[in-house]
Amino acid sequence: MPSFAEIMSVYGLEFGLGALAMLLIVVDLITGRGRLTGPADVVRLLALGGVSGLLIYSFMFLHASGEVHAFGQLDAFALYFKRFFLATTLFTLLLTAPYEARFSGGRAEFPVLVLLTAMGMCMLSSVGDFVSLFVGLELVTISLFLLTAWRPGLPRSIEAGIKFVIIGAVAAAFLVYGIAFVYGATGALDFAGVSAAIQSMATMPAGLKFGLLLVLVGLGFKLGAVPFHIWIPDVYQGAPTPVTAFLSVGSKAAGVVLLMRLVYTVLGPAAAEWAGVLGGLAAITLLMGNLGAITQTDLKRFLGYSGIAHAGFLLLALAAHSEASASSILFYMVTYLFANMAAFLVIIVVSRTSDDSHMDRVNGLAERSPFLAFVLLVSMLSLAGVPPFAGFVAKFMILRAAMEAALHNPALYWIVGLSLVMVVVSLYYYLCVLKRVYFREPEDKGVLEISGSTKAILLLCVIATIGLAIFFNPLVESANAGAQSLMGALPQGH
Amino acid sequence: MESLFFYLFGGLAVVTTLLTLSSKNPVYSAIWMILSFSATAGLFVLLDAFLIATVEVLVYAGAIMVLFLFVIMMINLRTSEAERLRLSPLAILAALTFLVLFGRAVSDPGPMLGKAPNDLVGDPDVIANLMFTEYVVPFEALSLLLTAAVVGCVVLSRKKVKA
Repeated sequence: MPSFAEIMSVYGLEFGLGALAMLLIVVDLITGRGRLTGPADVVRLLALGGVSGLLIYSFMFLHASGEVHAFGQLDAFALYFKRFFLATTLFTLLLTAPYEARFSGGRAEFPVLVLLTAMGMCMLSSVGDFVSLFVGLELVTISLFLLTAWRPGLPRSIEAGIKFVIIGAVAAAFLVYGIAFVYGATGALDFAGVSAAIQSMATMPAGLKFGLLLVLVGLGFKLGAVPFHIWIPDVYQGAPTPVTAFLSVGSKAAGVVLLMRLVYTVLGPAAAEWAGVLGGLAAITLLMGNLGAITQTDLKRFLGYSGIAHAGFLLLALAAHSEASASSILFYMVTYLFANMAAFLVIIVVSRTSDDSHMDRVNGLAERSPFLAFVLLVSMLSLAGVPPFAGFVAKFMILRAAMEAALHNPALYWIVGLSLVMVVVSLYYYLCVLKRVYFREPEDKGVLEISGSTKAILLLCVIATIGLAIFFNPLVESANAGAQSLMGALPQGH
Repeated sequence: MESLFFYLFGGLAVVTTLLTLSSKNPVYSAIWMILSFSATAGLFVLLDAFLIATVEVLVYAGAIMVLFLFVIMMINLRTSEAERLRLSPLAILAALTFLVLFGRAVSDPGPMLGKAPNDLVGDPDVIANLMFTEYVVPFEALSLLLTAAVVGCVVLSRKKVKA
């Protein structure tokens, strides 16, 4: 039986996040009597302080350990993703501040659900069995359903919520059904047991393959891989913008972290068989994501399709299946975080007056606010993967790892070729947005006021995006450590 | 004898589930669903999983379905307009692929098939022990999941606050 101290050594951060969420509910209850605006600020500030505290704590006092417990582990990989999720949560809360006025209610409860989602995400990076995996994933998904529908007065938000619930429930059903087949074939639910069973088999029985395929479907839904991407455009458009940002970075990373854990440690050597499936998914995801983005006229839908395209890159790296490709995924996620958060914050600012995210909102942004225009320039070019920005380094790392892997698996050359074509396509549509920013006439000529805190957040994103392109070594090193712990520490039976 | 009951409950579960889907009247759907849950509970009994069978009847067929019926009556759902099921070729292709893969999976499910379930599996003691030892982390996470659901539902269903 695991002792409390053992569990806390792995899930300490999650405990902190859960406790913080409970504290916020109590604070809201005590301070909120009869007042509407006061408690929300208090609660949000507390949440911000708490999450920053946990993030600092995770950097200063938490260390990766090679110990694998039955209930989970805190290896370098898990720690990397926990910090990533905490940073994502912090950004989401920061993005909420300029948006909050549009909520009709539930301002104080919003951070509570964000924290609980974050708790689920952090938990997912440590899980060691399919039961925890499912519970963690549901904690993330169900909180996000609610956050998506957080503006009941807005039909778009409700529609997005309903679509998300239905498709999410179907995906969860696939996942559970798949887990049942995996259990039926291997007799184990913990990753170590499943992995040991797989390695003892000469060939995988069809039932096991079917089960793993269904698990892949369930996770592909989170990741936004192509046949399971149907929900993305509508949900991204309808959800409140901070939630969209949270979805696009956090929810995608939750899919990534689980897929990596399953492909690298559970499948282990057997993963070579799955390179074809992952490669095929990567190819159609790249194709559909990039082609779909071209015709979009709504900024949030546009970023949704661009996110699908990025999922294609991540799948390509997964198909390559080497330590270098694992490390490149970890690096990629961080560059994606900064570029995406900056873009969504710009959307929040420009949609302040008309509350929609049509692309016309950024027309002539360069005249109204040169700073915002510059931020959007950096973010779009980084997402496109243009040299002086971090996105370039990330894409370069993935392609280099894929080319190395292609020496053993020539089919990858085709996908790398396709992805290069798609980079050019993506450059076209990112530049289309920038054309609007710099060369179109603005609809509303008024100067956009930006608050100091918004400016600071945007500046941080820009500095990180440029800085990571030059001083990428520290992050690459910690990504390498994460990848190493993922590849090296094949779970021992217990 | 046992296999007779297996086919009885299994067949009943399949038929009632199909009827749930095809009934035009939502109240009939809900009632078919209760039967479907009960048949599934029967299957669990055959597996000696008595606790799960009880929970299936008490929680699903009992509490949840009553809630369903309440909601259906409260929002006064009428027989749905005969909306024809549209089948796109892609949907048919996906369903057929799934069926073929499913067929292969069932014909070769792996080495564990036919092993007797653990005798104690239906015992509440064993389940409770597992819940508070091996699976204590997901168990605690579930309680927070429920908290999140409650908080969210309260916010979404609250009457609009006048600012």
